[in-house]
Amino acid sequence: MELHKFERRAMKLQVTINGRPFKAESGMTVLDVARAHGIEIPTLCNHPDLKPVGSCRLCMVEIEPQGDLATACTLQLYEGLEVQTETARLVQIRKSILELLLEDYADAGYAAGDREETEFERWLTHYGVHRRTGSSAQLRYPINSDPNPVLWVDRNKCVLCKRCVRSCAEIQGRFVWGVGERGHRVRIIAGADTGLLEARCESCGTCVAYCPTGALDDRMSVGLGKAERTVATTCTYCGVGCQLDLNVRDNRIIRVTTRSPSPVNGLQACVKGRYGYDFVHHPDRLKRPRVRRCLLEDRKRPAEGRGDWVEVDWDAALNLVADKFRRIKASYGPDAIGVMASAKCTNEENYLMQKLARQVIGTHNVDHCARLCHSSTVAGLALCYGSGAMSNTMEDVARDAQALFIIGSNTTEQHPVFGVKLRQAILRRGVPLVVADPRRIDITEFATLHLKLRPGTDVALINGIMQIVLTNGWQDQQFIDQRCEEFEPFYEAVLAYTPEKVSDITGLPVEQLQEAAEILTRHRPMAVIWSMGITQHTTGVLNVLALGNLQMLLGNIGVPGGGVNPLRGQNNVQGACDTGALPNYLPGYQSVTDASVQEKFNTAWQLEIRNGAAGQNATFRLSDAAGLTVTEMIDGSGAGKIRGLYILGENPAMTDPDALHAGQCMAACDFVVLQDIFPSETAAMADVLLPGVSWAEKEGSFTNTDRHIQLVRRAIDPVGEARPDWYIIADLARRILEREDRVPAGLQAAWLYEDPSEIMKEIASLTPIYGGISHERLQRGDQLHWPVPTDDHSGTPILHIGKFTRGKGRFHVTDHLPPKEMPDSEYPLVLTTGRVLYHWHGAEMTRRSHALMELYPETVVEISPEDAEKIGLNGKTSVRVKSRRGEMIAKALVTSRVCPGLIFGNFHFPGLQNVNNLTIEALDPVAKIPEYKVCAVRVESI
Amino acid sequence: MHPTTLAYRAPDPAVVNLLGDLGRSHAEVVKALRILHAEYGRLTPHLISEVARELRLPISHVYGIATFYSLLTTPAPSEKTIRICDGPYCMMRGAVNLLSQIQSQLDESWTITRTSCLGLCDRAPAALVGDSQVGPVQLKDMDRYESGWCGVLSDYGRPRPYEIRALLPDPGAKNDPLGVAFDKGEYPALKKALRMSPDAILHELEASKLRGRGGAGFPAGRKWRLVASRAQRPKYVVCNADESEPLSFKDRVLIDSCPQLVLEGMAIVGYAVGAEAGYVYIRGEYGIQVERLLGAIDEAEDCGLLGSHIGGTAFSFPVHVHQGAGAYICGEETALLESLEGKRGEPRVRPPYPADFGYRGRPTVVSNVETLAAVPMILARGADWYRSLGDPDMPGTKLYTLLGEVNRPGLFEGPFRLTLRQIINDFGEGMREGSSFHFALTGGAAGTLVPLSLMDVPIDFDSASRGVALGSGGILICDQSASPLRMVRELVRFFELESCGKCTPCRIGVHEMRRILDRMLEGEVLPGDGKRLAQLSQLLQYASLCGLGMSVSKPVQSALQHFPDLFATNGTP
Repeated sequence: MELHKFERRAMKLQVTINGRPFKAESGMTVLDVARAHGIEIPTLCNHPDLKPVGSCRLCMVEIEPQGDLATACTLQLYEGLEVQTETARLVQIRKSILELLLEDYADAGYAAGDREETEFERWLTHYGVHRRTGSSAQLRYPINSDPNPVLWVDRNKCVLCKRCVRSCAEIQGRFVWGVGERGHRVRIIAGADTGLLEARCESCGTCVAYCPTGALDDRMSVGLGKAERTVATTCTYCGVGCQLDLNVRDNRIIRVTTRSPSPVNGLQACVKGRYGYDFVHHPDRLKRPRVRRCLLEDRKRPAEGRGDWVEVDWDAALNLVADKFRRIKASYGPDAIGVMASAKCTNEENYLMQKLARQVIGTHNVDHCARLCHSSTVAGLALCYGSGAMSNTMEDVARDAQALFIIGSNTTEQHPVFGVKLRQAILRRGVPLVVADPRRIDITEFATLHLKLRPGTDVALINGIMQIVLTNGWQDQQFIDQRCEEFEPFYEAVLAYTPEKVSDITGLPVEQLQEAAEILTRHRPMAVIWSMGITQHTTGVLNVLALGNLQMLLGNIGVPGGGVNPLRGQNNVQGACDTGALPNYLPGYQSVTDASVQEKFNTAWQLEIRNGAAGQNATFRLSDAAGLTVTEMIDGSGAGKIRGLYILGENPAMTDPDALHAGQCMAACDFVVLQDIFPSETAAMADVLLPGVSWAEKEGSFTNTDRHIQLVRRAIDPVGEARPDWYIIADLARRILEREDRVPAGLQAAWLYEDPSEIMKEIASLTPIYGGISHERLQRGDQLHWPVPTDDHSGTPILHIGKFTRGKGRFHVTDHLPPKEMPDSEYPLVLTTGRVLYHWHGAEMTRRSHALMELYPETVVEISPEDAEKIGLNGKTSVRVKSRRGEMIAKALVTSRVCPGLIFGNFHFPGLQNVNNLTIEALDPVAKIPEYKVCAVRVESI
Repeated sequence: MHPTTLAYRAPDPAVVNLLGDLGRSHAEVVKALRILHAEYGRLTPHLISEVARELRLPISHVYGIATFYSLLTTPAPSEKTIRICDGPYCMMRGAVNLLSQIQSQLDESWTITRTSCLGLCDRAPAALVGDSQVGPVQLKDMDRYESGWCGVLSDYGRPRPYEIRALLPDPGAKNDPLGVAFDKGEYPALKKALRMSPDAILHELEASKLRGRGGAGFPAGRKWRLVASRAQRPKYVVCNADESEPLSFKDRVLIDSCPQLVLEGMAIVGYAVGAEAGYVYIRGEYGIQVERLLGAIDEAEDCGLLGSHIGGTAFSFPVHVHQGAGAYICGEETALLESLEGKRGEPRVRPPYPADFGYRGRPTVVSNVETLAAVPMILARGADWYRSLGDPDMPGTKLYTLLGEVNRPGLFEGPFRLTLRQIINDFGEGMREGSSFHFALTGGAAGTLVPLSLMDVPIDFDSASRGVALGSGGILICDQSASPLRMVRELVRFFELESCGKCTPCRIGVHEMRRILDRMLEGEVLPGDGKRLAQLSQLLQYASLCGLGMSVSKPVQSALQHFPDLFATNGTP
């Protein structure tokens, strides 16, 4: 049977094109073969990514010997097929078709200088077709007919290839574009011929990327002229790691384009990636270092706040910081300093941040915002599998999964391009999808089953599903016996989670639990995908362990299309963890408490006293106790335990739970250095602002959610006097060492780097999982997923094949525990929080992107129609939301996306608009992650 | 998505209830839109969005449908709408003047509009008043149409001289016509078929040399054999009753006079190919015929002749009726299938053909009403008998619809290989007094303009190469008062209005041709117009995606060939 399938797939055919023989495979079209061998056949409606429709008729070929005509894009190969692709008759047909298209095509000229030539213009030139004499270009439609802030629609240039319609449907899965009317009046329409936004457009620009004529264009780029160069780089927003081409002119980004084929995303991008780039040129950018006046003048801080800023040069700023840190260290010890690295910065920069903390300052107090997103994943998966990362790749999940289980991930909004790949898997392969989420998030439209569970009841749900699996004997016993341990206690514990009990806890009907168990077990491999909905709970680690149990139970580990797939939020949160920006791990998850690891780094990073006595001048020894987490550092600064903070590109004043409290703590801290591109909300508590640069202004690498290491390339010069962050960190380190009279002695102890590729060499030399990574390899186009132990290793797309990282997979007993704060009569509603498609975390960048702000200008709280009525919203649009910790004011969106009793808010807007004024700083006992996903609130209309 | 699109909107109960009644089936979206259009007079973005939401379809998809079908695009409630047919024969009978005259006579509450050929040529000038077929329309009768009167019906009860009747009822025939057998509660041919093997049935049908009556004349038995040989299931039989070819109304008469014969034919073919269900796709303007078919299906089901376990056997074959909403292109088999699936009626690229990839992607028979109606008699009386009818090489009978300046226009049944001369003189009883033959249009709009010199060419499915197309059997005889140029312009205008717009040559090319022909009629030709007309017609023939586009070239090329002077531009064609 298998052999038969193999034979069919590999069936070779002999065909002849223009007299030349070719070998090809059945199922291919003439166009496929022609393209593969560089035989050019003109096309407009065809695109290799899209299903052929054969409607433009440009690619017609002649079939010999009769000269029958057929479109190459739809003509399936058969043995002995002979075609001619460029006869006199075909040329005549193509000219006539292009002439006809030109009759209806009218270019008003406003974008004439923006591109070399469009695909359509290229074919006109190729066949020497000009507008017929006597016919004139009549503008039949408005040239700018849609108010969408990022898309430009000009139907006068439309040739009805419908690539927009098909890419929106087949690639993006949105079905916004369609075709209206018939005959000569046919035109592309959005929705019911409304504006694009009303037609549920996500503004991703995929249709623009596929348009061959410029009828659809990037609004922000129209009329800006041709790019001087394009620079391929990795997107700065989410962990998907899309490859983008920054189009640069006059040292400004004028457009972002995508290429097919390119790894990860091809021609796709999301609205932020494609259109959220203008923050780079925002006037708020920090262009020179700033220092508080009182510090410069060596006076005491004013009673309120921290006083005025004074702009200074780099020497002044860095010397001041180096002096301050040295003094704090001398007075209070190295553990009185906290270092916050950044998931937005490169691998190289994060490595330097933790090296600074550990080697120069001498503390493990280094952490970053992964604490707030996936620390429970890292802790949980390390316990059960031995590795905290996504086990599979986005590609194999989308390609090979037979079922998908999305739990606590708003994939299509937070990882839009991966969300789109999942939509494609569902649309093209009919993969069943089970979504567990209290909200009716976008992807539920594609779900076979949506489990609308009560917030904070995930463990019960997963246990309930596993109970049904076990009572029916659906588990993969062979996998469990051979590859796992501790099954018995787990088995005993799970049996208590009867469907009835689980139904009581989760609020889900018993039948839905049964259906979920059936879908998820009948289709294997099944991939489980999660994100903050699983991790940001006081039971975060338990949730992760339960999912780990589920995938072992079903034997879905170590196979393409299966696995545990926590989606990392920030562009480089994976890399920041990998490179050691964690209080308990050195780079590559080498434990700070492991003696051999300590030894290795003590040697590598060794420092000596300048001119010290021989043999006694070794001054560096790693601390053997783990450092403080982000949340502990913040609390510690309020309690006087942390005296100095060095924050790189993070905004705790916005993003920490109970944000008012976080702000008060930092305000109390003696000395806060913030290195960022904007004066963020945290800047109010800072003493020194160091202007770093955006991703477009520096070199380095990001590691995306599936452990794929990709290059970041500099496209423009730094804005003002801003400097690349790696450069600033190294400079600061040298100045501190200088003040302490210490000099590098170990092989990797120095701080002199020509460029980030040298930093990566150092990382590779100390980090086994990055052992084979180098900028040279990445530059060459190697697609590497860690572990990459050696130079000649091709990476490890799928983890745990044959054996778990920790040896045997370990089952854990997980019991349901309720969230910390439940609604009561005073605060009767549950608040759950998250992000929206158009903004990014604290939104320091997206709030400074013109288009994204037009699309989503203010904070919005989702309220169910039932609660809206109870609250007496009655058409009013503003609400005040209060919790025991604070309040926020927001626009109310009455929507059935949330069920009665639940409201949803985002943390993208500052001050009174910030939902983190309300959230609770209740932590998971193991991972120390805050419970952002559940707290009790009250809503009043205002 | 943008937050505004997420805001809660209470569902429109009217739409919810309606779609509930229709079973929330995607295939019923056209029906739902027709009902809403009739009620509200206009398909607003609100209604379209509501239908999309209830059916879980993209809004753009529903909008695309709502603007594709002509019966859905008129901004008026249906009962106050008069659609005057502007098919070639109704035009000849004064439809253009009628439109303006009626407009001036009726008050503003009425909407008067044109429509493509209604298939009521024997009652020209014809119209749809609301959903009712009316004709001949006369100004003096306007009040009566409102109260339900529909003009004068044609009577085809008795054959005219020279007719051979096998399909249509023949009161004088020796054998009981098969169509009457149902009166006794029987499908005699199906009964016989159910005792035969599918292979034997197919063998008989192939031996009969029956060819498809939709216009192309493809051997019907061979098509059915292909579907029978496909292993994939389910399979379907679709009866193409989208008769929209100008000058053709034979399927309407067949459904009016013997619907059971059509249904019996479908069931026999269904049994022979192993199909699970049958669909009759009937054009939106044939409202009365839909009623007639539904009634006939009810009756047949009551007698156990359709539905489940027919005649107590294991064979089940339910038949459903799907009504179009005004689109000539849906007569093209793949466009029909798209429309049947609840989409815009845009043709698919062939291959794959419906035998492999038909309704819902399954092997599907798509056959014309007249073809299927011929099946019972072949089974009942045998292939040998059938081959004895008419011409031995192209046996059987054909329904002709003869129109124009002859003494006795109308429908008749006759053998293949008749010449125009025979048709005019024998069946049409000669040219009308004062009229002399100028040219004929044979085979409908997708046919040929025939000059006097081709009067004696025998007409069959293969005679188009000799300049005379048979098509679906519509023939219009024109006299000295008619202009071939004007005729071609009308036909091209018809194709322009009915093009789906999917492929470039048809979408823009036909529009260009019509503009050139307009100029020619106005006497304002541009240099090169004549040459360009010929070029475009060749492009359509070579490069169109479907038969519609290719058809446009037929009347144009025949006219250019036979009447070159008329298309000459400043003396230089």
